[in-house]
Amino acid sequence: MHLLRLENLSVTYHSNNGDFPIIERLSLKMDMGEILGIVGESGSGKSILALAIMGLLSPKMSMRADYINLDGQDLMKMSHAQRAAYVASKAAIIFQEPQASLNPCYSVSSQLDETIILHQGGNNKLRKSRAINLLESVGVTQPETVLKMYPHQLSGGMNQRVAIAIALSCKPRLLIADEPTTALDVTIQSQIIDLLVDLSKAEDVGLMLITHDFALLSENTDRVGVIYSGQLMEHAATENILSCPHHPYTKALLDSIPQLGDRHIKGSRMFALEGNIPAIDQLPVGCRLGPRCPQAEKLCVKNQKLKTIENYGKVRCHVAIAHSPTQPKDKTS
Amino acid sequence: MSFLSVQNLHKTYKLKTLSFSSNNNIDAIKNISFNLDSGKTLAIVGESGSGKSTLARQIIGIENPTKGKIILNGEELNFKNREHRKNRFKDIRMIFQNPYESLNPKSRIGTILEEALLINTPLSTKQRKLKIEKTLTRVGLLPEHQYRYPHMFPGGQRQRIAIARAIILDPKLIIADEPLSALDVSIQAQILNLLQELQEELGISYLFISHDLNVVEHIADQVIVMFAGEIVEYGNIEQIFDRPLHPYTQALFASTPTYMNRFSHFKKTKLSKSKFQLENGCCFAQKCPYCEERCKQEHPDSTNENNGRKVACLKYQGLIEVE
Amino acid sequence: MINQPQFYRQPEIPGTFSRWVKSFNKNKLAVSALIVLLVIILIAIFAPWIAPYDPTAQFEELSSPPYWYDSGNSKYILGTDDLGRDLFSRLVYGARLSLKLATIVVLISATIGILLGCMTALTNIWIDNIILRLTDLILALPSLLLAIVIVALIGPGLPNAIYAVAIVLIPHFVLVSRNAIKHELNKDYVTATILDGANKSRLFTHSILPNILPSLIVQLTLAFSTAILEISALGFLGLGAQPPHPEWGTILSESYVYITIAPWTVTLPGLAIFFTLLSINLVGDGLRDAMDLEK
Repeated sequence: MHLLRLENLSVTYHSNNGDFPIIERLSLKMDMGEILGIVGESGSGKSILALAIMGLLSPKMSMRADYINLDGQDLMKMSHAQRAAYVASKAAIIFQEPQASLNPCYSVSSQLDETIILHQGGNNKLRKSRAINLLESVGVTQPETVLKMYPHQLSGGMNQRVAIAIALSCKPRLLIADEPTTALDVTIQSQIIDLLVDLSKAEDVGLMLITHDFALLSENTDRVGVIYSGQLMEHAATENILSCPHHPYTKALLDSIPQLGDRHIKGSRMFALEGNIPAIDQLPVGCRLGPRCPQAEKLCVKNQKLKTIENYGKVRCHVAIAHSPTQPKDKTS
Repeated sequence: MSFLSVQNLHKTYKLKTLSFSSNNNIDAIKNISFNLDSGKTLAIVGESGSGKSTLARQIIGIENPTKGKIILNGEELNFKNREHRKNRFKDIRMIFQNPYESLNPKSRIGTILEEALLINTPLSTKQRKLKIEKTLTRVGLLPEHQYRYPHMFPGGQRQRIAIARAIILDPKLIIADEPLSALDVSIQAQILNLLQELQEELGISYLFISHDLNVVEHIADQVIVMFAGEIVEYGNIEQIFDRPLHPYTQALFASTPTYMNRFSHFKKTKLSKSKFQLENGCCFAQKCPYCEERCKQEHPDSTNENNGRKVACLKYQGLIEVE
Repeated sequence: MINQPQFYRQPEIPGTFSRWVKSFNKNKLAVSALIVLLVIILIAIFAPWIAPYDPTAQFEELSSPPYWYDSGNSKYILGTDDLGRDLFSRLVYGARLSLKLATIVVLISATIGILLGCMTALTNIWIDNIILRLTDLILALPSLLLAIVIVALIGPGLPNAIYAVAIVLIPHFVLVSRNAIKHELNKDYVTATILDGANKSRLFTHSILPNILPSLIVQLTLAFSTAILEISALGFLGLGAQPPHPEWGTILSESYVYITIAPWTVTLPGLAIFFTLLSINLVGDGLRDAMDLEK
């Protein structure tokens, strides 16, 4: 039983100068309680993917999909109101800036209470104890004090914990975290990620972790999808991708992140992809990575298809598929 | 004699209020001392609010330190002397974190670059133009880009322009305040390579402010770890990255995501209950996983380890034995 | 866009100002409002040549209706008022008077307001506080009421009305320029310019001024329309221009008692005020949109 299945999800942006594809025919599967990482740079469409699943796209965008199956029901067959209610009961999203996603005019307790009333209800006392339980479950040490406070009185990490508590209050089956730690310090970041992973494991909640940081995904996720310019470039188990990435973009991403132990030697340079990410109205012909790809060939001007490699995953690159070793290399390499 | 030497630097901010009481002081940085050799890179690591940027502002001369000395090339920098100040602006340049904000949106790139030359050098119009074109080419842009406006460039290229602006006066020291954190991952590597190329070619020293240990290890020769305005650990890259001694440094390593898991045995920081710092005692005590009663009473002085390495912790020797 | 092939000849990069003009031209409503405004300004400038009669000259035909009425007289295109003065001439000269007064008012208040605004933004916290509290004091009162109070204190008449309206408009300029400068001062590029070694005057003229110009221009157009409205209002209340000055508000106040007998003497000056204000405000909106685009 899958928690989430998307087939051929496309999102189009309508502007005065024409329509531009933000996401193109993207297909994904998530199992119950699985942690899926989505990695991509800014403008790759990774946040739009999250918004499309939640039904939060701006009016300037439109989406199409064969189906979006969330916990057994197809979202595309529902009416707008039905869909909103169903998604709210099954999925929740956490955004990058906790300060921006919490309302500064209301205390933590009233914001938590709002969602608890919506999903569980109950009398005052019951709701309060539920709110305290929620805050405790996200690692807030003094829930009673925090309940009375306002978002601006709390630190960034604490605000993100409150945002997670609000997200959890509807007992979601799917939790989407869109760059949940980018605005936070390193030490806080690791606390928040640990918390999300623990919660997902403990309550069997599917977690979709959207980020630009490969290293962050590597420690925590089961599978990873790499998005570039609105296309899924590679989709495979995390250890497969880390031990032998097939797609040139994934390779480049992994190589261009400096690793601990990678010391500065005079004259040595890091691998860097040339050029910039293509703007949405200036997409290249054929493979989106084509102009920047170090392995580009003549055939790359054709549209690339996502193909499955045995014992590995899916890759959108004909060069990689042709040269694919059937078995992934040893992990320690 | 080292190229840049900072001695016992303090900066205290007075909160600007209309009240007459003068007790609203905030110690942004306390007792900072370090040395940097010519052509080397010193990285300053710490969380937001740890005083990294304040330190940069003192050294570059936008603000005047409350106490302490900054010595560049054997000459003490004096903020109040106008001539001194102008020379300092010429010798020390800065690269800002956000390339979207650090370039004047209403000026062409050429005008932005020319401004520094116009003020600081006696070059003629033609010489200035040549210099601008040379510098633009050096940072990987085209000479004709000088006629464009900043909003026509993506973030990575804007950061290249900011770098061009920094090197156009042939400075001796560049302070880079989180120059990569606003950029995309695949662009970060380009900029990092450019910075290293420039250093090797022109012999510039860098003061590299960052929160990303991966990047720091790649570029730095020396590292300062700051917490709450104090240096908690200071040493060479080998010393700190091979054997971090201070609990905070260890927590930073434990929290930094990497798929090599070299430092998983270090403990992460504790969730602190109080927002406020202890008046006496160690600045890290509230979050330290090894904190004892002693740490809350006594302020640790930085202890000299071998080879100029410094650690500000009462217990670090005990910690090594535990391992 | 950036990585053009080498043989491609890059067209001139348009400057900031021509980009503003270009995006303003795309706004059809604002352009037509600008044309209307220009026509009104031309009428005001060439009033002596356009108006057929002297605005204060009286003729024998009292309350003669405009020429399209059955009883209309083609000698007086828009008819005459109760004293037999040609309404068209009065309106044309009224345009001249209104625009002239508004320009003077805006010049006075903008100069003082922007200077004070720069002072508050760039000097110490005490001056900032004193000037801000004063502006708060003025803004707390309804602007027309304040103007009336000032005129009542210093006596009615045109020069006093100008001072009154100018005083009322100053706080807006102070606030707009102060906030714009404060906003820019916090940005990194200002720090970067200081690090280039620029002194204060250079910093202000080269970095800050071009960036606060859009908000100042928009505020100028807004102030212009407010000035016209308030001067007319004072004229209508008998506190501004005195009869027989052909000021629009004064014309209205002289003739509103005849609204049943000679409705054109009321509606036509009203329409003149209405269209002038509308076109100024539309142009102001268009400017704001055009200059905000690049953000």
